[in-house]
Amino acid sequence: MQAVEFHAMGCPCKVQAQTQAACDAARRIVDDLEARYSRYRADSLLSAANRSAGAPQGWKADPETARLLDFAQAAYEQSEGGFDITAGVLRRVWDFRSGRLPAPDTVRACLGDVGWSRVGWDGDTLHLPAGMELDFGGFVKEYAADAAAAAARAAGARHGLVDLGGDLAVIGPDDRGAPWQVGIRDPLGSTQPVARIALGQGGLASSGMYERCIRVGDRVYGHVLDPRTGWPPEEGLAAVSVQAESCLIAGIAATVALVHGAQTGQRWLDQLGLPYVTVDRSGRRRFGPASASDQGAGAAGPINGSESVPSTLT
Amino acid sequence: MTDQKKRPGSAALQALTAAAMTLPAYQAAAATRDETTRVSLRTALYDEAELDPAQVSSDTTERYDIEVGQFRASAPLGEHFAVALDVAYETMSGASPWFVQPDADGRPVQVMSGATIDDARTDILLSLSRYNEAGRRVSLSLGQSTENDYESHNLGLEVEWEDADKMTAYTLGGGVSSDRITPTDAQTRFPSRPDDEDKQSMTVLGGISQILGPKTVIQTALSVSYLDGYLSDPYKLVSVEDDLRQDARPDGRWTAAWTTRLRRRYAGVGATAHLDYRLYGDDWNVVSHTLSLAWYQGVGERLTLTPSLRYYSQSQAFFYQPFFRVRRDDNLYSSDYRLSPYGAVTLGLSGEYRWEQLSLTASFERYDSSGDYAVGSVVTENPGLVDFTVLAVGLQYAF
Repeated sequence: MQAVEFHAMGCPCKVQAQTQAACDAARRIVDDLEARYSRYRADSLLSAANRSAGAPQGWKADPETARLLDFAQAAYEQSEGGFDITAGVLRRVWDFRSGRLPAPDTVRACLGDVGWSRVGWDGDTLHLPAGMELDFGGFVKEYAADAAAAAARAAGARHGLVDLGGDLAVIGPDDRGAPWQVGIRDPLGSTQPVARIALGQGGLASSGMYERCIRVGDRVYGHVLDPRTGWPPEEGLAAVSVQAESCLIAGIAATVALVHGAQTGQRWLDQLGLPYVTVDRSGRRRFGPASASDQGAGAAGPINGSESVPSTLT
Repeated sequence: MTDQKKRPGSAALQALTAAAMTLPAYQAAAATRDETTRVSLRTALYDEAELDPAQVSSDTTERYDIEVGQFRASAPLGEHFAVALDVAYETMSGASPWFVQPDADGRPVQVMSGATIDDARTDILLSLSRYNEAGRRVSLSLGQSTENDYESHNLGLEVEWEDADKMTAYTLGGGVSSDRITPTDAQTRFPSRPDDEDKQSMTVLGGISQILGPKTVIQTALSVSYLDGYLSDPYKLVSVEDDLRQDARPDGRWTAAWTTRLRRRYAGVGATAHLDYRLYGDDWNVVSHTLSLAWYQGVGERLTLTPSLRYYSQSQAFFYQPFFRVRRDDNLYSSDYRLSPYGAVTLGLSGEYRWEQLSLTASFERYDSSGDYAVGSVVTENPGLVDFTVLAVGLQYAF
């Protein structure tokens, strides 16, 4: 098994695959997607789309961007606004490094520039209202993991794993033909993984609330903001990991669960029916999905690892 | 993840999955270069069953046995190219149907070629492909096939490209071949047998492959060919008014074949179904239908087992009869079982075992042909219809 480690999309990345060519093909895809969809690069497609804000003729999307926007729209609709690629502008008012909360008025004002429903998107041309911008940060890394795995498979690899900062996509089982054994990191900082998962295909994505946060008295404000309120959920989960047929779907499921907060988030995960593990602020783990009959009753069980996904969340 | 569909909220998951599946990362690119160097060896034994002695009026009822050895190597070359080399060597021995004559009751009986025929064939095919970033492939192939009495050269060109959304891929291609036939023992033992003939062929083809959903792909293709020159079988004779004359076919043949392939993945059981249909017709009045079903079943991570079933039926060429009581005005005659009306059923089982960079394959196929299997009713079955088995084993190494 060959491996390549690199830094992309703001995190450490690792690709393991049978051949160096497959590793290189996977890495190339990640670099390409970063170049296209990074909001930090003025020459990215995303920056071009954002510069078009307010332009009457709109911005014509290339096919891949168009399908990504379609997907973002589906995620917005299915999460009832909990996932919104226009929410990035809230960074203007939330400074998690400062340790100070923004004034409610400034958050409210900023929310005026948030809301996918205000964006014109016809599947081909984007009309972004002035002042608004798009941020693919909420899903492009997960998509890149899947795309990298697909590229490695196209290059002939049958075994391997893509790990983009803990978001995993399986190229194929490990070199013994067995599922990858994946440890899920404890969001509260202990060195013991909160769960070990056997990942044989698809993807696994994790989201944590408190990597960056603001503490005010007893209340902890995590960095995952609800696009509808501009604030973190009142009682948030500490971390969510979800396993799905793709890292992309797993990522959306995990992010939306965090945005929704503990109760609603748990219900969202159970309804999706995907295997998950959540950790709440007191460190309590919960495995799902709960079966339909005891939804909401908080049934716990191990993640079904018989037909699933990848490796180490670091 | 097996019971998602029962969950009330899984409509959300299905909507997300449907939206995701249109993204390029989840579609197999039509023209992606294989970045791995591969070498494979395969050997096959092709064994024709003995004929029914009641239908043969010569000493031998034995038919052909063919041993095949194949070598294939493919590798990426530079930034954009890929090369592949295929070499096959076959040795054939046995007897083949010579002509059909009526017995005392007027029923057709097969006469086999007397002496055992021994021949060997070497096929070489070299292809070079160029891939670009937009998923377009251009392939050029050069081939040569050599036997004692036969030499063929062919040239092919194929272009494949896809829509930007990668949902649809297109193929256009064409090829030409030029064959020279120099039958053995012509003009000496068999004065009527031609000694030096040639034929040419041209083929154009076009195809579309469409992704219908995350688990379903359909491909349809049409190919049209024209063959020109000596298209008869120099080793076959025909009984016409109780005289024997050379097999004589038209010196031109238009053919068209329309093929549709459906691939569907059943992730829940770890299997993929392949359903193929081919409709063929030519201006010799031969129309055939081929329906194939194969089930690729994963067994654990390393083994794939594939049972398959193929049904075939064809109508006869307009100048075919087992034997001729009266002459034809056009002087075209053939009693070749391959131009007769018949049907055939093939049952197969193959397995592939993958271990590290090594892959082992083994397959067995049994082919039975009969007038009874044909779509329409066959009044007089050709006595030379063939049944055979093929046993093959192969080894592939990926670098």
